[in-house]
Amino acid sequence: MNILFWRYGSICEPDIIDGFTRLGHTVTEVKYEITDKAMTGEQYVKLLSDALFNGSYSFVFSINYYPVFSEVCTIFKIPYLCWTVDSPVMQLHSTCVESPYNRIFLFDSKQYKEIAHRNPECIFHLPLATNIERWSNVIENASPKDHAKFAKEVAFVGSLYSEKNPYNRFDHKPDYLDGYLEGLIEAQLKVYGYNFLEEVLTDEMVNEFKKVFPGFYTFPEKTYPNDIYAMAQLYLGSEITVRERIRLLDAIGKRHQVDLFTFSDTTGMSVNNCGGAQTLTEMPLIFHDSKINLNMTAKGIQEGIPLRVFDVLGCGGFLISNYQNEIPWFLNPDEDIVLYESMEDLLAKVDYYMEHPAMRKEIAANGFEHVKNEHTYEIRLQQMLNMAFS
Amino acid sequence: MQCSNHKTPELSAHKDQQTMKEIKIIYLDSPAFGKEDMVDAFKELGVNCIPFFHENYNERRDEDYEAKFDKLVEKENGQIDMVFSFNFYPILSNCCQKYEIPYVAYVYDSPLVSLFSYTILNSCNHVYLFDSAIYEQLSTAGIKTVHYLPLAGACERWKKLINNAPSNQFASDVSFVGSIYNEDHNFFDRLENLPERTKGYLDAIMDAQLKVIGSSFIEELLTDEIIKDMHASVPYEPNADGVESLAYVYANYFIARKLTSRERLDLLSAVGDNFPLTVFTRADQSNLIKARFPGTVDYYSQMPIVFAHSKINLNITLRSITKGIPLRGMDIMGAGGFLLTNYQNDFNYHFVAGEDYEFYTSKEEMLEKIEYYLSHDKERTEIAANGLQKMQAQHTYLHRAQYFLNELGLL
Repeated sequence: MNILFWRYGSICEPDIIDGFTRLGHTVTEVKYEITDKAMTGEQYVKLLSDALFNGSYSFVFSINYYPVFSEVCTIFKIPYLCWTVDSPVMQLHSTCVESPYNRIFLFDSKQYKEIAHRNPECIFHLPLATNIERWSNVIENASPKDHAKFAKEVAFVGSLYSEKNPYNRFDHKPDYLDGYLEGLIEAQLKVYGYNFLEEVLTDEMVNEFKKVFPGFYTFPEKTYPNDIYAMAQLYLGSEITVRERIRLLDAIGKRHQVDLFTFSDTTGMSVNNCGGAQTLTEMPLIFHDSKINLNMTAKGIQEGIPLRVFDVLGCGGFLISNYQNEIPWFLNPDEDIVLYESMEDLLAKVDYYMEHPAMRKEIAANGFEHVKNEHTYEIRLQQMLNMAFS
Repeated sequence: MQCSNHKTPELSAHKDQQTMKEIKIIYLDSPAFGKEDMVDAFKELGVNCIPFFHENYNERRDEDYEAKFDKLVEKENGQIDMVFSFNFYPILSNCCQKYEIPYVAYVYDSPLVSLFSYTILNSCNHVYLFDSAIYEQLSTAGIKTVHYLPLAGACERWKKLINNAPSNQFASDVSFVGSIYNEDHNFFDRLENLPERTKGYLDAIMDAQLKVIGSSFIEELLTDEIIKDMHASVPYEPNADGVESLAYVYANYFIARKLTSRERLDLLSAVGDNFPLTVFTRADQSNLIKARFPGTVDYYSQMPIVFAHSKINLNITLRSITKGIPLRGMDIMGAGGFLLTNYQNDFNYHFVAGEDYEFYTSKEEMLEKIEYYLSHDKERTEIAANGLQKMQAQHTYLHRAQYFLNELGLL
């Protein structure tokens, strides 16, 4: 099949292109957005339309979901396939998810439950994957010096989100609302596997919040607006993610060496800030060579497995992750991966596995075999095409 | 977790009681559900049961109480094999410690602040806790005098009671027996003049906790700052001999009851809107819940009949009982009633869901199961019969009496 692939610069795009190619398909890339992040809606329409006029394609593909592409593809009567790698994706609340030309693949079963009812035939749940060959190449070709450089004790690659946390804009706080949201955030921090923010928030609460919170998200035209969703996932979710990451990393850092690969400010935390890591060249070595890798899923991803989990396992790394509902669906806890359900649980597990290198090795090896056999892009994209065109 | 060993010898009347040395126990004669049945069970085993009562049984120290206890022990020439009470009383424990008499305390309340008294460490103690969560908490803290043991039922007596009652007495489709906690006992509503921020915080953690079944986070979320405000509003002074934290007291005595009240109102309203419901409680609350309110029933002589004659009996556990099977659960199954309860972990140790009882984890699930079981008579009666059979085989007061005596080497 000929695939028109719209790129915007997501780290998994090269792997998906590689996967489609291995399956024998031809991929034509449209790359404008990688360099120009300020395009207007008209530009998107024109660029995609031009590309479709100039070639013959079986479908258009993009990461996440672009309502404008869905509209263009509906006019051209050509399937639009897309795959989410993040959450929340506010564009999924567009009315055009209903188009029969859509084939929307969602990596988070919660995302799926939220919108599948709007177009049950064309919306699917599909977990993410990893590119074993890419990682193996990097790991096998790295010098002993590079391996030594990234062989950390407890490692985490990622942002603390503190610098891009929109909740920081909430500084004019009425007492009751401040106390209420504080209580809600702290309660949610105690619970894994069930996100109750949206169920607890009321319309009155959101309206109070909108009155004092500058720049509350405005749903564009042709969407199903849901302010409770926006407040829970965009604002409270971010704050919870920040608090969880800072608290947990700091708590581990008081007992073990924690190496953090991040651009975030770590002032005052008991961790060693190594700065950012190169995704394609350094990250795989960190995952492969560190004793313990951590995954603390961003709270916007309510049930799904974040990309980091597949990548750590795909690099043959040992991973301790927060409990996420979908992990036991696709991986075997305690065999492929270790899960924590509270701060105390995490600290105990880090202590334990630091002392048990043989078990770490065994679990990492199991996890690697498991993703290699079941969760590569090739396998996943074939599943995607089967679902899209059956 | 380690459960107590429930292997008990075959229950049989002691034919040669006369030839055996008489077992003599003192029991605390303060008000407690199940007291009569427990004493009857001891008597059935040939035990000489001597009542002891002093009005200050709730005090931690009391000279008059202690003198009265001394006198009783002297009267019996110190020949007391065991002292028994429901719940745990520090003053009674100290009295027993003085004479090195084993003190068996069978706890059916949670919260129970006396468990945090240093007297829990007394070597005379054999404290049996019905909530495995409290057992784990205390045993993890290194306390060796505590054990886990579920509550029990007076199945034989209840059976007779039920057989002698008119067949339609207290009959109902769905029944609930218990307090809604919105009358008195509600310490939470006495928390006045709280700062707005603290009010908001407490409302939020309660709203969140109501959404979460099977894990309790209120106590952990009461920060020093929040407790300071609650303490300023309604002070609680810890007992001189106690190590209970203020977070424990405010979470369990203040907030848990309020949560339970909100939950019972919410669930019972939903049930009442959809099914014929009878609520046996003190005050008529038909302004809040669509149900019949015939008033209370007597625990000893009437409640088992309600359970036997209702198609479905609801148990909505007091939120301070984290994992344990509350007495109400045992009451319902032991009377041969069909039990539909909120999920409580400890049921898993002794009963099989869907065979001996049913549970729900949300309001929707509760309503679905009520609808299902009201229209499936055969399954419902089978489950009730299985639950009763298991109660009769393992969880009667006679089993417990024998178990206590066995543990002390008295049988």
